[in-house]
Amino acid sequence: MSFKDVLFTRYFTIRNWFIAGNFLLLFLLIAAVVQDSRREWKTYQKEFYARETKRLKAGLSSAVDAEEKNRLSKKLALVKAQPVRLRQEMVEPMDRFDRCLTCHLGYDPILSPSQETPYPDHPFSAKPNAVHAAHPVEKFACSVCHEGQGLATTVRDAHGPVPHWERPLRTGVYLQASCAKCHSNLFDEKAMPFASGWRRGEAVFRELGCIGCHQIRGQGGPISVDLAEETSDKPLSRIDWSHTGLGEEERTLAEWIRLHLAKDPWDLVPGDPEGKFNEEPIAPSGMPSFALSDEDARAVTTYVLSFAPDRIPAQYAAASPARTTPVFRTAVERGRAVYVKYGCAGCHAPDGSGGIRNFNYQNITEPNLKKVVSTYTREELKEKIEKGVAVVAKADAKGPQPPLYMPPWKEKIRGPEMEDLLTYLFSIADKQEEW
Amino acid sequence: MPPYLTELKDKLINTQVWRSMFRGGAWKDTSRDRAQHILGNVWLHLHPARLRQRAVKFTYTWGLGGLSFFLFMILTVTGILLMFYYRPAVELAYRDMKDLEFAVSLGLFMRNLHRWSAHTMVLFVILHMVRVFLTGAYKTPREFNWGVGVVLLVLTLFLSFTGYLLPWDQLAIWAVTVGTNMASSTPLLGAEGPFSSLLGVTNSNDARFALLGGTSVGANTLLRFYVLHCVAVPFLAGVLMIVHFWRIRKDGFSAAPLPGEPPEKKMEVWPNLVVREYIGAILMLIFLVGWSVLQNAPLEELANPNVTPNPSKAPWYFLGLQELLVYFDPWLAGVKLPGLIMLGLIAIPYLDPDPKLGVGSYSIKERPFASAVFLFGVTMWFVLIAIGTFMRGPNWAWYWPWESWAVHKPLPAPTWNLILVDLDNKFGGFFTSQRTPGLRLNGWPGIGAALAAAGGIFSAYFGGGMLLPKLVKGELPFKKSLGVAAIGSLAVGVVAKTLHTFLFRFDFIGKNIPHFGLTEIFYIAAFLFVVVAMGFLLPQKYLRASPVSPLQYAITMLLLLMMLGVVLKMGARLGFNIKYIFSLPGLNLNI
Repeated sequence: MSFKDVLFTRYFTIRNWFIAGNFLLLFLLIAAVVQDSRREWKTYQKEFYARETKRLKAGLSSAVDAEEKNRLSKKLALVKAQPVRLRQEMVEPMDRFDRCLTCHLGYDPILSPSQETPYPDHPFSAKPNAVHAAHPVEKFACSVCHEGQGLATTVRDAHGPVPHWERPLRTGVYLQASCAKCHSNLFDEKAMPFASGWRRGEAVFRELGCIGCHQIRGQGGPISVDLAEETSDKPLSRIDWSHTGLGEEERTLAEWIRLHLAKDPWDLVPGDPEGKFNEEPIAPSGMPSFALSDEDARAVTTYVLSFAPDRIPAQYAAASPARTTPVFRTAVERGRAVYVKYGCAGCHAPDGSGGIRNFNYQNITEPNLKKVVSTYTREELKEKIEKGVAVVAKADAKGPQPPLYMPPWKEKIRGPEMEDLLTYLFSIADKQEEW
Repeated sequence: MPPYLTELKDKLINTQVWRSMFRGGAWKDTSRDRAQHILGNVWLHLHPARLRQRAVKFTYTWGLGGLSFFLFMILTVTGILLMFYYRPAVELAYRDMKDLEFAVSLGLFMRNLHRWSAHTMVLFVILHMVRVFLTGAYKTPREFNWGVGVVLLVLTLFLSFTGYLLPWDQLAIWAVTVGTNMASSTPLLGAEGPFSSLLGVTNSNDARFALLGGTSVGANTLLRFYVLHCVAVPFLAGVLMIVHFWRIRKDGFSAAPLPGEPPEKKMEVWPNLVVREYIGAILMLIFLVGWSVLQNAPLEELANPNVTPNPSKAPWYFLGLQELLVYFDPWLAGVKLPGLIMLGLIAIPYLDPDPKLGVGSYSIKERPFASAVFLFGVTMWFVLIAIGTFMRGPNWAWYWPWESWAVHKPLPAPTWNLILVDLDNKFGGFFTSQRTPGLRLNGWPGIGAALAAAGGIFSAYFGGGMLLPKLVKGELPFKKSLGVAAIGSLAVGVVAKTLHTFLFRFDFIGKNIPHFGLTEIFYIAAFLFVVVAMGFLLPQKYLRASPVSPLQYAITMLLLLMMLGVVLKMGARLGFNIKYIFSLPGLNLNI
């Protein structure tokens, strides 16, 4: 018999196919059930119960007081009675169904009412904390502040960054961005002591004059995007990651924003100055290269992220008194406040010395106000500020239009503000030599 | 079996309970009882008691039809189980998908099984159709059943399409947007199709609106597709399957009798066919369960109508149509061509000249024309799907599979139209584009000339294409003719190149076809060769002599020429950036 005949009459017979097929299917179905029942969180829960049982038993044997013995034995009974199951906090008004407690049992309000465990490692650790005390898990769940994927039950999916979930866990200073969802008084150091990172971010934001080009909810300069409406909740599929150098797992919105502050935006958003891929040449980003320190970059990122919208019902908004505006005495001080308020520092530097780059601009960098102001009279300077410079001259005529220009401030800076600003500008101007 | 077990078994079988459930008492291994296993069982009695020996061979049917039905049953069972957890509302659907993945026991497994079975079923019904064609099992008296099968194929595609929306993620909403936007290009009934202004259809009352329940994919669409997917279409498919299986039995079951042969020996269905069906089902289940254990069905971000992924791709079985959109307007690529394909498929048995030739076995060599044309069509379908899947990236630009989508591609080359009729500005144009006005003839004479030219081209192609095989009377030596066609096509390419060099100084040539090198010669040579070989040589050899009626001949050639027309248009677009052969923007009519 040929090899083929042997194969089909001895090995691949109908009977063998039947038997082998049935067994293989049975094996695979069992494999599917086993795969489904082996879940990460079960390991963590069992470990937690084991640790608690051990700790309570040790406590019981070393306890002296009858009352303490009673308390510990009640707790031990509670732990022993716990099944290994999913735990979920449902907060219907916020449409949040968080399963974090499945692993982070230290924060379970029934198992651990003190919200504190002595274990140092996650997910068993639970440290007491005033913020947690003020925001009980039953009312807030977890993900409204910590973000991440509350519906998930594996470490990777719940914390992220994981593809197709745009809000990974907020760690470190970024966590403070969540406070702004309900609290509008993060500026208040006394009322909100934990928002120091946010305050630092706001201070750097104001100092660098970001509001001169960007807007926050419609208020600000017209040159670039609205950080609150667009950037704070930008869909990741709209971001061109090709120049960030980030791996797949690191591509988060926080990183995108932070890189703008820590690295050179010309590297991140190089545009298409030679018009290779577009009908017209496109300039690279107009944003200056601030190259902030890691701490400052993260702080400003926190500040920007704090504007991201979320579905928070009205009853969760916390009462916050309005911010008081400081009162200045001299015209120069008031003028300085106007300079900061409208973000003039974004192009002309915090101290007015300019030097901020503008791609393909004839004069290469933005004007140094200290040198330039003294060449104007007061009326000429007022007119200049009111009119702005809509189209700036190109260095290379074939190149792209420079991204930065001076907007007209006529509608925004008027009356006393304009006068104070002019006074301030003339005060910082270099004195012209007397001929 | 040990005697005490046999005694127990006999006792059990003779109890009233058992006898009331399973009629017939103890089975003996006789021919009568084996037949009774089939005829006395409600689930199995659609089978005959005996069948021709050829039919039992696995490599005859490959079990494709039976497995398609089995897949339908797997989908029904997993679908019902999923229905316990899934709610078709936009606020809930995505969360329910996440719940299935993380919180429901075997939820992820069921979802995976459902999705992979769906893809497999679409593939298997297509393969089943190919097998039935190649064994001539659509011939008399089975023509109607073939038509029922084609409708079942369309229903399968529609089931898969409606189900695709239900996860309510970015993949779902945009794939369905792409698919349903084709409906708005339906002639007369679609707001953006040709002649839409005649009936006064708008965005809010056209065919697409009827499908979506709105002007965009939203809450109404989700509910509507859910009902279609879970109730309406399965019911319809079930009804048609009953007809389909009934006709299979009544028309003689598998392995149609070979013509002119004496009656074949038959073998018993129990256990021979039944055990093979069982093994086929087991192997399919092994494949699907293994796949479901190893790979998870995709789930992207929550559906966001404000953010369109780039590129947005339809499900794989519709990617062929999406790729066709590069070459044809939506009303052609999305409505007319699929409709014609469906009608053409249904018409196949009625166009077949010989009701006896090639039926009942793989007769590819016996029916060279039929097999060549059909397989050419199927291959084209899958080539288009492959291009759409692997070669298209952001902005639908050409990206080889190894190229990263993060790399930007230069803008595509500008396109031009062969013949333009502009009713608003009253002129007829040739070789027109954005870059050059081309040759313009003003006024009604110009329009007339353009229309005449277009009419000339189409009638020459179709009319000439239909008449040519009949005109050449003799038997052309096939291999030699292929060689002549190849060399001829190459020659045409070279002649075109020389013409180009002479006419280059004219804007309407120079600006529209800036380069004419080896690639362009290749395009002309290759595509012309394919069209001549398939559209002239093949029909000339086989159709001229076969006993087709003139009507059958005409319809066959029309369908064949239209299929080859698609190939030609693809070549024209890819090689020479021709967008439209004929364009009438006033009526939204572009070919």
